[in-house]
Amino acid sequence: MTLLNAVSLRVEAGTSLAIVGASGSGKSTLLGIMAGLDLPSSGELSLLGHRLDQLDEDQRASVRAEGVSFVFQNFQLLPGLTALENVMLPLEIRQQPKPLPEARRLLESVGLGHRMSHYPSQLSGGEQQRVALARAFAGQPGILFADEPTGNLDRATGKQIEDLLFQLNAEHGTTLVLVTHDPQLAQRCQRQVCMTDGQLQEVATGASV
Amino acid sequence: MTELHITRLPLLAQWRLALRLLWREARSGELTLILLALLIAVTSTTAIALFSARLELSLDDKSGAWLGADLRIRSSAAFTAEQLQLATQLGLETAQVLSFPSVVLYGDNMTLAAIKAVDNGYPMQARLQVITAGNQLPVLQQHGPAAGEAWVEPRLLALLDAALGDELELGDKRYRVTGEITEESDRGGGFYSLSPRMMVHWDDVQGSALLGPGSRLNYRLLMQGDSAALTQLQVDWPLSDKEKFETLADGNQRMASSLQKARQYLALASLLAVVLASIAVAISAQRYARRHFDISALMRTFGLHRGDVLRLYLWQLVALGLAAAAIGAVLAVGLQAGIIQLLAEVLPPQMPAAPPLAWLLGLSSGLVTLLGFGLPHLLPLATVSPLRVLRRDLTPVPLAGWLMTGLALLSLTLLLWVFTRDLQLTLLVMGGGSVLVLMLLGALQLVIAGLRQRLENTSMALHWRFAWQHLSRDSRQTAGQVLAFALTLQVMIVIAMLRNDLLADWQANLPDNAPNVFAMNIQNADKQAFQQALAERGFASKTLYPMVPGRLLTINGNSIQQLGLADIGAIDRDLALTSDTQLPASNRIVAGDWQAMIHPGQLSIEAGLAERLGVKLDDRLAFRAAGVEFEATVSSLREVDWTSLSPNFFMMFSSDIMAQLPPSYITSFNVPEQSQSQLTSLIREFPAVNILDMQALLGQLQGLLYQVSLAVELILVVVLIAATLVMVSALVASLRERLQEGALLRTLGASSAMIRKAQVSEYSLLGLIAALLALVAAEALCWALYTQVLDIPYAGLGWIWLWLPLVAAWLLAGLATLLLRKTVNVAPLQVIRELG
Repeated sequence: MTLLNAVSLRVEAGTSLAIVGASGSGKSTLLGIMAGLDLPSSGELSLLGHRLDQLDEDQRASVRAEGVSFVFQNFQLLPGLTALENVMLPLEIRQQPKPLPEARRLLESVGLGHRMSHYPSQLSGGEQQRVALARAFAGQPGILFADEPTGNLDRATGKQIEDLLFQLNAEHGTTLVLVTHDPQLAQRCQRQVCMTDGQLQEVATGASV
Repeated sequence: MTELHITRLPLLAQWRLALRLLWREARSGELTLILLALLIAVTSTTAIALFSARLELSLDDKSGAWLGADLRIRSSAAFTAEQLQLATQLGLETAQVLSFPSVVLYGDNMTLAAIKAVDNGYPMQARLQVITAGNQLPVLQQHGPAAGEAWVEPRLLALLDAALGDELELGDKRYRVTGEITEESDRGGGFYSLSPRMMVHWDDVQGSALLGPGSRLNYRLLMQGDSAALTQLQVDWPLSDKEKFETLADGNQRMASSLQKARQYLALASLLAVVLASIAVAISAQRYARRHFDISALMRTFGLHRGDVLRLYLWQLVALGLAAAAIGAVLAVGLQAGIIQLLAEVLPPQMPAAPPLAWLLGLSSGLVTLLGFGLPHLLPLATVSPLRVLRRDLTPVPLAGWLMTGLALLSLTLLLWVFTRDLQLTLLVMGGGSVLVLMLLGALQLVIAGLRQRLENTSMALHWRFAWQHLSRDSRQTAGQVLAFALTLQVMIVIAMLRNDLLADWQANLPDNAPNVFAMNIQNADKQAFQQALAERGFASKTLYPMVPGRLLTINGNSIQQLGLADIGAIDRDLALTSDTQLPASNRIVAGDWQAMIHPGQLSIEAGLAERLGVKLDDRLAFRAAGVEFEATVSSLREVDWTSLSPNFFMMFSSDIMAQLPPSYITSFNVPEQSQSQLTSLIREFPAVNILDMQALLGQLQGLLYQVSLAVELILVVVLIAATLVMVSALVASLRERLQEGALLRTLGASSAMIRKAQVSEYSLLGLIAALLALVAAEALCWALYTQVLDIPYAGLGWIWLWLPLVAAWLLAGLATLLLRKTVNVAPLQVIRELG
């Protein structure tokens, strides 16, 4: 079965792109392939200057370690780790110096300085996604992939997370690729593409750069 | 293109990260169950490994300490002056020891003691430690007690209610207790015998009436010197059939083998704990793996390589195993100390410390369990696709079922082999055990499946339907849980039954006036007076049987050596020969004719011994007793009820044969409980007569059995904890599913009470079934043991049938209510948000 057909897409460093489309249109599949989590059956794929389609799984992991991070709809925090430890984990895995103060700083920047030692189950959905955002920006990633980052949140909380995401993105100068079916969220990106039946279509955006 | 820099975690970083993750997860309670299960495995195996190693070191003690000499000769008769001279002429040092059972008195109290009279050459190479008056600690002795004094085991003082400095009566003499024996290395290897020791000086018992021909005397000549002289002595010594050389090579074989058996049983029992703990490890590891699919995927998105993910888990596993080993080691020391404490009187005193290998064996069991039961579930974690962060349905392929089962069985076989050191037993238990368990599992699953079909369209209360759906949905898991509990309960029931019933029932079932005291070594001259003394005290006496110790020499003219029968238990020593015109009440003729005894030269032989010897009616058997050789013809075979407390004999002759021999007499009689003081006066009146108080002996035997069964039960408690852990692991593993279900049911309008009721119903049903299964199995096993092996009447399990199912149901329901409380306490919305 062909999920994506003749897709050609180029994202410039430091820009933001929204992939929109109906449920089951293949948005998440595209995101997974762009991030190197999966490979297309044919075609060329480059990320951060590496030809992902020529690399094996462990080499692609090294590319991710170099500067790729994620934000997920269901937060994906480790239930056994505190908020602080969740943020520290990618820093520790990438062997970055001083993970503890860096993680503290990040949590404070998302307004969770007072909830650092809480476990995910003790945090609200919005707080969990803020921890996930702090984790995503840990280690200054070159590119951030976000899969329906506000999909599990109520409108007001979703709006807060949205603001925070774009604020951090601006501060860190990260490339942002996000998948959403929320037109308002998509509007805030510099570029929008729409996915329909495995085909990509550029959407003219009214948002200013 | 940018050059790709491959990032891999260096070993040290792996370790640090693994430890950090492990610590964080341990703190959050994620690892508690696995750790507990590992602890059970490590603790029980290490305790048994330590205990076994120490026991074996004691048994393997090849020093001369337990022989007490370089060479020893055992004899049922005193050594002659010529014999002793033979040893001294060869330049050997000698010591003489005489041991026999006898009654010891203190005031109105009496008990049977193992008397040991030692001469001035003792203890030679034996280690004899005694606490003497004024000393707190035992002192190693270079001599035995002085004349007129006695050294005794503390047990004897306790039985008599006496203390150091008191005077005890033995035969017609009094002995002042001047020491408590704490170690006597040459006491049958230094181990337990039923009666407590009383050690006196050789000279005190010489010429005593206690040493009459009917007494069970055991003389030993201890020798030490250079090996040439010892070899020469063995050549020169005219060894009679009453004598036997004892060297370091033989000795304590029988005791050693029975202790080895006990050790193997303990090892098997502890293995049951390991098996159950392993199952708990497997269930917990499976749950752990399931809960870590997301984390593994996430770590891959952080850029961690597959190999690094696997290594991170491996290191965590190793660290977990080491932690369990460390804590388990401490617990094991306590557990084996408990076993040794409970078995104190059966075991050699001051057992040597366990060697490092025993520690290694025990502690490695944790790692073996982890690798065999935990690792197979964790391996797939390395193959989780990073894409899972976007697509939750991507779960890794688990290892093939046969591979998992194979690894588990292999690690169990390895453990069992290491612990029993018996490949045949290992294969038997593993093979037989697997087949049995699989059959039971299969049968239980079939029953569940059958019930499910039958109950499908039956209407029942909603909570019962939910309970039953849970039980019947995963019939394999349900069957496994039921089996784990039922097996443990069954073993516990059987052990408890045996402990309580074995002797208590036997005693209770004896008629009130059944004989409970034996009197032996009654000389012909005392016969009348003794019978009169019994009558005066109202002790109902049975017949006085004449008795002469004698040996079987030939069967139909062929010596028993030629026939290869010399080593048969009953005839490798003196037999008690007797005669009577009446067939004893506890005997029954199974072949031939008792009436033939009126003719001269007739013999009636116990049927079981006749079979072992291959003796038939009309065979001619020759004996030697009291220096006289004679022959008799087998005219009848008798079945003997050995449990009747009256004198029983293998060989009974026609009266003409006994007439040519100098017999002493033996009888048994009943002493009512309130007439104990009259028994002590009887013993004082006839100091030469050997009185054997069966009640006291049974009491001592009961004490021994009690200790052994307590030690086994201690292990069984560990087994029970392991079985509970299996149940808890299964409960916790199902928690997520139950949370979802509970939330869903409550959103559909079900009340918390209904859900709780369903859970209580489910687990009380589980407990009930397990208990009933255990009871049925225990009833069958007990019945077989009692009637087929032990030959005692079996009254059934009785009240246990009533309370055990209730207690088991109540316990499991309580456990479930506690562990599953979240399913009714947490708001449905929160559950749905958390679990999706």
